[in-house]
Amino acid sequence: MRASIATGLIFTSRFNALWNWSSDVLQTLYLGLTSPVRLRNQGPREIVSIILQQIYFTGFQALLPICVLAFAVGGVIGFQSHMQELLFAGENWVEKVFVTVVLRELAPLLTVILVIARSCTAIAAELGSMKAHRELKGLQLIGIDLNQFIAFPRLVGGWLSLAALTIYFQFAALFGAYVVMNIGRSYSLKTLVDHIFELLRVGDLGLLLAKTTLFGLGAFAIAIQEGLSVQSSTHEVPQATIRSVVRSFVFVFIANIFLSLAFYWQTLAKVWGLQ
Amino acid sequence: MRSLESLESLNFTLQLGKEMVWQTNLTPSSSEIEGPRFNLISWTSLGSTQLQQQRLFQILSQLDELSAADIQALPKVNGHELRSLPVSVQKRVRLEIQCVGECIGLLANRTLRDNLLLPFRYHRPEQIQAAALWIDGLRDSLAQWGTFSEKSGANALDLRPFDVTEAQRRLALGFRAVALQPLWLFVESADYYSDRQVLQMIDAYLALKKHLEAIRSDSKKSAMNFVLDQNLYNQIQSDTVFWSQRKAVV
Repeated sequence: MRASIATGLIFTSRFNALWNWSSDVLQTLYLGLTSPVRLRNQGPREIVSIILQQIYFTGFQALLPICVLAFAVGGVIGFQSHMQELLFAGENWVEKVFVTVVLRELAPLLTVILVIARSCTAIAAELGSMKAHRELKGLQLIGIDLNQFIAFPRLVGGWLSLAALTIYFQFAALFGAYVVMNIGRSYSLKTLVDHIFELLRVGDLGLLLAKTTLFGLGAFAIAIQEGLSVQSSTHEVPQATIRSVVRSFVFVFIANIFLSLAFYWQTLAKVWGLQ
Repeated sequence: MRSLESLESLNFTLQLGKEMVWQTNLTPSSSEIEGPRFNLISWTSLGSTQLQQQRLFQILSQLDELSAADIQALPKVNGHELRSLPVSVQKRVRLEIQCVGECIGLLANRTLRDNLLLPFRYHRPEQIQAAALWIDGLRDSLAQWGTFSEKSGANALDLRPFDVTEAQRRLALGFRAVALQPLWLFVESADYYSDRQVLQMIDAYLALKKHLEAIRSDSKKSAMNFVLDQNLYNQIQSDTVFWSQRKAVV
């Protein structure tokens, strides 16, 4: 009896903590995205310059690692497709794999993982450090709204960067697959691209947009929230950074499951006999 | 609330439980003085502990209703609760109340010049050129006071906050606050260890040819008296109440 009560209390407290944390993240997201509407004509140039900075750090500086990663992923897919074709004399399924695996799953997921590892950690550490050094208090003192100055540019810049990087990922992966498939034989890039476009549906692009938006805004909101949760000591900064990485990963993987389920819902409902 | 010129009073009430700890009612305007005014308010301690001093600074710097433990604070502007005013008005009021505290930082990734210009870029882009000229003029003031002398050859304003000392950072904070030409300037512990910095701030402000009004926290503090006696008020009287006010045209 006592054990079950204790378990119930622990569960309740954990649930409360999760609820509060989720509310804080959603509040950061809402206040950050709506701040330009609420605070019109305040520092537009400053805000744009911070957005551009964020795009430079998140989108531009991550371009090379993303392209290398995508090239390798595309190369593996091209290699495996080529091997299957050789061993089993089967059809070439690289285009199908490209659309179903790379475009729908790997591109948004691997890109956001790299972005979380590079940029979300940096944002959490930067904001934590700013909070510990009272830089944010200094901003409040001169009437600068933190949601507009801190959250909004990072959310928008981060999201735009993630969307762009996801597109670059697909082109680099396509190029990787093409290069590997051309080793020892000739395979036309035009044929590869044409086949991929034949398989592409509007829903695929919708799924891609939904994933980059949800992953981008969610991961950056978590990083901002964790960074701002630092109170007064710099020793909290690495703790906040670690929390932001772990929680962003958990959020992204769970969100990915739900979005993929939603995408395949009609097919699944038929198979499961729900329709 | 009307325009900023009609900012008639600033009232703060701080309560500890049910007991009122202190209450202030500051008025920025006077028929005796025309033109922009400047109120220098210094405090060292509001009570037996530093806690209350920090609480006051927190209230002033955040301009928010504070409710922590059993301490409550309620800021009012022109008789209206600050939180009940529109956000845009709150922002404008915010710029009229500047604080130079011991626990405030400047943006580490920007130079001192950029930090000083930041509020103008954000709030008053039309004044940025005039502010930049004034801020560049501070080099003479800094040189006069021997500040940044160890960085000979380097332009002090091009340094980043972590390249200068804590006292110099605080001086830069003071200059930023002065540059905004607020109606009230609160300087934490001005009479404790940073009287020379306060002098520099006053000097910088007087260079703008503004009027100055000082409010002291405790006349028994000799350091602050030194500041006042040497520069502004030779005959200022001692006051028994915490917040006192003397008017002067400088």
